[in-house]
Amino acid sequence: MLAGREREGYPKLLGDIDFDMYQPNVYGLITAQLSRPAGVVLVQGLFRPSEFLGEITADKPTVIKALGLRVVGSAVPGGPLSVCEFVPSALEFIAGEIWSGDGSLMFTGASEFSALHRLPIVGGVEATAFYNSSFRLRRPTKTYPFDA
Amino acid sequence: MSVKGKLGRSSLGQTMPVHAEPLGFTNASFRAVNQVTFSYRTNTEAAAVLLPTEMEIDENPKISVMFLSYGFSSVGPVPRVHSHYSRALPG
Repeated sequence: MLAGREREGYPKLLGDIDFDMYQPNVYGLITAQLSRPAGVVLVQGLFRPSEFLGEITADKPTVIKALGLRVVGSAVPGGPLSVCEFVPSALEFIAGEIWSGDGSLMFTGASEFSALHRLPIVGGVEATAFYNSSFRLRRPTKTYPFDA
Repeated sequence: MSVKGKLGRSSLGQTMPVHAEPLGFTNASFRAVNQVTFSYRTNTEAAAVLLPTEMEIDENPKISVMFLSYGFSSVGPVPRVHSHYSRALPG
């Protein structure tokens, strides 16, 4: 699936994801691919691990903050949105390994129905990997209306 | 004789749709997670088109595409892809 929980402002969009860091191959590359529907590739990524940078620990967690936009449309045609608010949350990584490496990413532009390619790549691509990590979801204590 | 309904607002689940299986967790945990994040700069105007008006970004903002695999978690063992602005601030 593309993204996660409606409740946290991560609306779901089902897709076909091929990503398995345990998949053995002779090239030394991690492959990642998103298709929607299956067979129509939207994004292809390659990661070549180079260096183990260190461990994530609960004492020094790595926190990825996020701001989702939670929207529920109106039942009345043309009516105002029933819910439209920003939802802060965070992923708090408390264990795992951080690896640096080289990344290659390509948007195929194969579908205007899933137009990820409308944010084109300008310049280089950086990549990092978290291996065998653990995290917990920090849920919000407050939401913020989006009135504009 | 008619009977009044007994389902009050406080009885509704915290799910979308409300009749889905309950999200039983208050705080979700995730284990055996593998993740590769690709980051890149994109065109400023293209990024602004998809950004809410109350937010602002730097020129050529950084976008991150995360491929995740949850080995085991409060929401099951699933793969996900997230795409997000790496840094967007209230405008």
